[in-house]
Amino acid sequence: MNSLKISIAFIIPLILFSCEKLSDNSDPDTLDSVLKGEGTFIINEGNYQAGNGSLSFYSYSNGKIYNDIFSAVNARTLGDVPNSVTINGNNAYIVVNNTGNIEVVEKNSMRSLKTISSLNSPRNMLIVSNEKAYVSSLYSKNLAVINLSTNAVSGYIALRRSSESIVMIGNKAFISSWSQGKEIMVVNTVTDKATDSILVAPEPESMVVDRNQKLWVLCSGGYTGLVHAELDQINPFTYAIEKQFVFPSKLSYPTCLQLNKTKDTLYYVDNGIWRMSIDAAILPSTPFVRPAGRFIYKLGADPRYNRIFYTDALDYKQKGYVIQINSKGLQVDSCRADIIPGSFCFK
Amino acid sequence: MLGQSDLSIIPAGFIDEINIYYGGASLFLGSGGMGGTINLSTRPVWTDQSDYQANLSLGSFGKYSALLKARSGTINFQSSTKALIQTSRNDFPFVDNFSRDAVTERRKNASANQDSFLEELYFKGRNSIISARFWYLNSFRNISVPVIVQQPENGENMKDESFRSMVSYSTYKGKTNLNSTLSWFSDNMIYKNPVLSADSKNMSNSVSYKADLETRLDEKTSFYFSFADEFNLINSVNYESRKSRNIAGITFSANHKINNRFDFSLLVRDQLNDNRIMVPDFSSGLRFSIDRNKDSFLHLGISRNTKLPTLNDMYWNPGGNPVLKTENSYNGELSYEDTWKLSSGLIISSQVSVYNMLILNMIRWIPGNSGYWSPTNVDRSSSFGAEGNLGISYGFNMFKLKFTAKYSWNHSSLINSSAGEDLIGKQLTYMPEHLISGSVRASYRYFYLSWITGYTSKRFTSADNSDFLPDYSLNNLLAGANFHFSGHSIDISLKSDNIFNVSYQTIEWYPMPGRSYQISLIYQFSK
Repeated sequence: MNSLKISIAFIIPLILFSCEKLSDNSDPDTLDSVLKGEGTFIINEGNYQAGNGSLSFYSYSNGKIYNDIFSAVNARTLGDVPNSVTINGNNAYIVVNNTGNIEVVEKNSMRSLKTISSLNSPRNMLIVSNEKAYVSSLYSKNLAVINLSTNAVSGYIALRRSSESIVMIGNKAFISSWSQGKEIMVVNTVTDKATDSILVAPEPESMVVDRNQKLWVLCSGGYTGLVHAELDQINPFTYAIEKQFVFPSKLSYPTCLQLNKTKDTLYYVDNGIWRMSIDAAILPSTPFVRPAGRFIYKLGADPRYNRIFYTDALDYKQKGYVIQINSKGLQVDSCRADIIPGSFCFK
Repeated sequence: MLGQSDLSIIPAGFIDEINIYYGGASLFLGSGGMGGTINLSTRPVWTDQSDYQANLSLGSFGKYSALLKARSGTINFQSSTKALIQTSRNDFPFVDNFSRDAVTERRKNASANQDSFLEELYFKGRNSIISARFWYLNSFRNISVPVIVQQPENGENMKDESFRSMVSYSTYKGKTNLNSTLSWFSDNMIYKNPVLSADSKNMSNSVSYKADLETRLDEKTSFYFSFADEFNLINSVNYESRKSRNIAGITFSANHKINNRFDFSLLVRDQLNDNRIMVPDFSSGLRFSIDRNKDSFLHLGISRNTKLPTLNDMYWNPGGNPVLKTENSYNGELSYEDTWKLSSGLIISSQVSVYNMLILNMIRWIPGNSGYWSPTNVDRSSSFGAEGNLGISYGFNMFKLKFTAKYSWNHSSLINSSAGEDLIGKQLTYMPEHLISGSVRASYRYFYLSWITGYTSKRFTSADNSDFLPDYSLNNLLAGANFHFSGHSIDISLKSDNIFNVSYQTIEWYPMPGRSYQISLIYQFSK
């Protein structure tokens, strides 16, 4: 009986103070000061064509989440299906996919600086240098080039296929052609020309670069379940596929490939969260985190710390959760974000 | 495919009669209309007079329409021909409340045009009527994006082409009517979105047959029996292969006048869905005459209704779920209606009703772990509310006045959901709790004036009721004159919709037109 009382005494404060923390944004000074600190931005995609996408910020200093911060500061809606945030210096670039905009804001205040508009279905942004960035597109067959001095579109790079994830190794940008694609395009970042392509499995969705400067590509296999998903390790200099892991079930639909702080451990989502060493010979057989009734949607690993987050989008209609887990996969925090919490950007 | 008709492409000028079957009454036409069914119909006029009508209208935002009608025949043969051409640019101005500066823009890629033709032939014998109907419709619509989407215009559009034909035979002898109808519907829908490289072709063919028998035993009791069979065949790029479904149904209903005050009705309907026998639906009503000297009734009704999953629910690729259960509803309603004839020219009528409906096995598309959504029977919902109608008509010599008012209150919410407790009890999205409408029509000699108003309360756009569209009121005015002279008739009218230029949305981020005007000329010649 005593142990029961002790358990209750510990569990109740844990529930009260650790889980389901909702914040209102009624105190702008608090939001302002919190945004200056470390944390992670969380993109809430919202529903397609409903215009209810938003941005949340989870503060490392106080462990609280601040929802809808773009609207709170700028008194207007962020847009339809924001997809990603990229930080460059003092600015943060919020890529709003279905609106076709990139909102340029001060990363420490969320104050809007400019809206780069009329982009065709922009998805992710890669800072190439202090002067320029690349933006991938779900439907356009060109990669947009952004002039970071003027924050305007300065040109396009013809890829002849759609683009999704972008990573850079040396003077090469690797761009995955996700939607109905099966190639990794290589762009020379000096000349802004597509130079090569690497054939992989269908729908390469996400990519990371490990500590050995190897490119890892996670191919979802296509949503129709007709092709096996695949995880490939590619030599970025020879373009050879050096390791190829085929998912055993066609029902697998892996997404969100991430790396840990030391860049030697991979994480991905596939009806749960899976963890795998970059030196592993086979795919993991048991999940790192089981779904346990949650709909695990996106995953983020802070490259500076051993903080790993995932999102639970629930039924896509109501406000979802952001869950932080430790190195053992155990939940250490849970906060309520907004509708369809998706990708992370660590600040 | 969707199990529903697109009312927006049905030409209103082709319709002679609209009947609304509320709640369980919809079972008389078939299963599936849980909230009710709207029945649009045409009917012959058995005279030897011929009528020719041209209805031309010109309106704001590039709207033009021409409707031609010709009816001729004898007391035994009737031919009715209707043809419609209409087009609209639909490029109305609106305030872009998403843009930084709330600028005024014009709606883009929203134009629509339509051609339609309907031919009806009726032959009346001694105790029978044979009819044949042929309807062709060709509709093209550009589809505009919500204002929240500011990408380059994507050129999304949809084309509907439909051919529907129907032949029927009706015979009557004494107190018995027998009707038999065979119909074939062929619908072809092509959706295109150049940006998505979408070129979606969908063709459905339906053949249906219905026979019904209605007989009156005596002045108190009547019976109705029907058999119907409908076969659907779908060719769609969105299905893995060609799909078909056959639904057969039998209906039996009886009406009995118990005494001078009570009427009782019972309807039982069962369906055979391919090879699967469904649980029977039913509708039962008891009507009590409060005052035998006037139209004053109390009506109590209960019903059970079944809605089959649509073919898209079952076969959409990917995600379709062929093992979905049917949705079922249980409905109860109590209504009171009364009419007061206060004088020879003044009549007041009213109706008040309350209802409660429970829907089980609600189908909802939910996200799966394979990157696409799939429908499942996950929710249970309830809908309850009340409605009130008031009508006043007054006539004095050549002056006529008609007033109508209607109020409805509805609360629809989930009472059980796999999505969690947070959604329980919350008003369903886009379901307004309060609707008010009213109209006044006054006429004197050749002239008439109508005012129509409506209020829609706020509608939640998120399942947890945290976001909503604000309420709005709309007012429309119609003024015109109708002249008759030796077989000719001319009606000229001017209509203004949304006269106060209210900015509103029925679906979030889709602006609706502000004030608009339409001038119409109807010329009719009879001989």
